[in-house]
Amino acid sequence: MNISNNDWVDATVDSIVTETPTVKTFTFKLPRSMHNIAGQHYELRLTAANGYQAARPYSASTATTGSDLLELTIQHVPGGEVTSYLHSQLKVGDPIQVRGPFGKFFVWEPVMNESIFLIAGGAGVVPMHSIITSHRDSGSTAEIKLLYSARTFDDIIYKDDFLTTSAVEITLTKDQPTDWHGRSGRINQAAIKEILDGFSQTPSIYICGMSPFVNAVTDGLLALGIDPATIKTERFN
Amino acid sequence: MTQINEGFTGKSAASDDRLPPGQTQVTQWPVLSYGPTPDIDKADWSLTIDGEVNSPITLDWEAFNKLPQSTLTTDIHCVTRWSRFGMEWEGVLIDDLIALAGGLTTNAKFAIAHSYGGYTTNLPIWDVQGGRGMIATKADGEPLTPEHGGLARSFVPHLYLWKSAKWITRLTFTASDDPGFWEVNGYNNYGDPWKEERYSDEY
Repeated sequence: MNISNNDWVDATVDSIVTETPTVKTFTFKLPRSMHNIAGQHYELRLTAANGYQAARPYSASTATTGSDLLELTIQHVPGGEVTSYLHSQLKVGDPIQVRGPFGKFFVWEPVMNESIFLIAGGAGVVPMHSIITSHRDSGSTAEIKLLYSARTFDDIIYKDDFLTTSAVEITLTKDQPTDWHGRSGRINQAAIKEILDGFSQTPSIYICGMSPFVNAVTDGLLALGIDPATIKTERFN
Repeated sequence: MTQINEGFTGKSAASDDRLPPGQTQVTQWPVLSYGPTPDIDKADWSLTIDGEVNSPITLDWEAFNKLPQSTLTTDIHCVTRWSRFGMEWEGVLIDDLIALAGGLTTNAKFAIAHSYGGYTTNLPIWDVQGGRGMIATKADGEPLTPEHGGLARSFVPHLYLWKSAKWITRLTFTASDDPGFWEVNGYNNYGDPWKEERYSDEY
């Protein structure tokens, strides 16, 4: 049976993990095995009793090879009709429709050898988690670094993993715990340059976050003379 | 039979004829692009109309702005599922640019938009003719900001917005199709929002 990535499939909620006060990771059990590379996204669709449907795209939290479990990490958007339902009403065992994967640009595969510098703001870290874990699980020897900007310690997504991963540097922009050993303040040109200088070769750069964040980071990179062709961005609004 | 998500009502109980399937109306204007926003100086800007036209032309900013300006008041639809209603876009109709370039040759079947920064997108010629497409420089009376594609972007509003190339610098007419940036990166080759042509079947 050949099912297209454009076909909606009926899935059920397998588990829901609270990552931060506004972010949850949902695991869905699908009727078939899924295959996606790091950075790709899926769509979720909700159906109301009157037949009204609403669908939204969400990045996969991990690359998936042949599992029937799919993880999507989703931030609650205040007033958002889909994320409000997902965060406040969806529960384990509930049905939901899923399709995907989609997107072939903001992606990473283990066959890619070049160095990679990932820069994320807030929930923009979700596709980066997918890349970091895919890189680790594949045993890739490509140089990799993630610079991740979160507001506070409590806002760090994938905390248990990221705080013990040497490839991940976190900066807290609003306030920091007294025993915080990571970076502080917004990502600026100096921080970017320091990390860039640590690479043995010019890396490919991936940036994901809200538009103002992506603009600020790309402006910093361009001011450092980085070739725009080496920069991939993914924005959400 | 699709299972109901109990307690989900959604925002729009009644269907809105203006909204293509699967879209949600927004009032803000989101920004989406795959790379850095290029900073283009008016003195450096140019637009070339070439390929399967009878006399290719290149216009600078001043010459382009002396051409007859047209407006299109229309809704815009992004593949990421938002639509924005009733924006007034201003610029030069692609029909007028084709005429200035001596008309299309009989070989012309497709129009390929090329942007500063390297973005491309492909369209059948029908979609850029008959008043359906323009090179826009203003939206709602204001010059397009760089993040929305200024100085100028192509504008083909009956298709998903990735078919409207921000920072356009060249429109090349061709005999054969040449899928563009998103079209080779997992998105549909045509992009009709009313048929929900969002993605390709390849991934």
